[in-house]
Amino acid sequence: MEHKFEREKRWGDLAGEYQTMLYRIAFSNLKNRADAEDAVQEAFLRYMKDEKPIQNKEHERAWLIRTTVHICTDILKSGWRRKTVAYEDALTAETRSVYLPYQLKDDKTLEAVLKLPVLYRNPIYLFYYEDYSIQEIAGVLNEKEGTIKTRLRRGREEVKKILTEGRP
Amino acid sequence: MGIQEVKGNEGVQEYSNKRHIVQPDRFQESLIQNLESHRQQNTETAETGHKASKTGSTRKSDEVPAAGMLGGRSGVRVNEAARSEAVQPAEVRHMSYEESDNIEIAVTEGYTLKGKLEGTQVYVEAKYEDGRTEAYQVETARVSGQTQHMIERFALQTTLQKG
Repeated sequence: MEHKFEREKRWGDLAGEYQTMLYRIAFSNLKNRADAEDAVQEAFLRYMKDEKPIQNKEHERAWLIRTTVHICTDILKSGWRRKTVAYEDALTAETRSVYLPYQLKDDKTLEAVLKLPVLYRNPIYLFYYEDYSIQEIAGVLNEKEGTIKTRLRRGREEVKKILTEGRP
Repeated sequence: MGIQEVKGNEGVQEYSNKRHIVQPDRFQESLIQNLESHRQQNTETAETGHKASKTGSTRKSDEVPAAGMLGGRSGVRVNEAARSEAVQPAEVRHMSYEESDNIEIAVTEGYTLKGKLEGTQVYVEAKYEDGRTEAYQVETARVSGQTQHMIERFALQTTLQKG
């Protein structure tokens, strides 16, 4: 079992390793730079405070992603957020602030993915843009592999609708 | 529980305790009939298989499974559509996006492609929405510039991008 101060010692390395990826995941959920940064910081803080043992690298990564997704869901659910943020107009411009480690040929599809309901958005984003396998996504989102496959298929249909008909 | 004595033999069927004798000519007749029916069944199966390999994109294979294929045991379907002369199955390495020279993310089609130029060949890894991951080695010198083949086209693109 890893001691608390040992985990704190690894803070720098940890932030460097996961910060960008977690930011992208948070942004795909919140569509707002400032909120995404807050969510990532909150995830790191929870990781530091968490006393449960982390078994290995895979577990660590999955834990951080799952926590980030939960924080994003909480932020989206909050009454303040629902009443004050109108993010749709800013989406196109903000999408460019997602710095993927590769060059995208098609920004429009990513925009459409970000417009999906959260149920489909996370599996689609993790599968296509972060290159996770179905098994990994199922672990991170705490769902069955079959559920993830269904959401990927239905989410893809939704993306097509957004691109062709312009509606989610 | 006591033993119940059976009195009399009314209602008890009488068995002759004799072997059922089959007439030799009838046996031969039935054997020939069975053999004929078996032969006919085999011919029908072969014809159906031939038709399927002509029209379908998948086939039933008896070959030894090659790396990157779904499997090659009898009755297991393999992805025939992705194969061509220049495209050969390879072992899946689970290459990351960062390691790749070229990436194609096709959300609306349900797949992603990753390519890496390795000498005269391009290593291509395809991940599909249904959970399959397949890998190929593409000999780009053998690929036509006008190809419509998904993997070949992507391999050429990777060569051009890197070169």
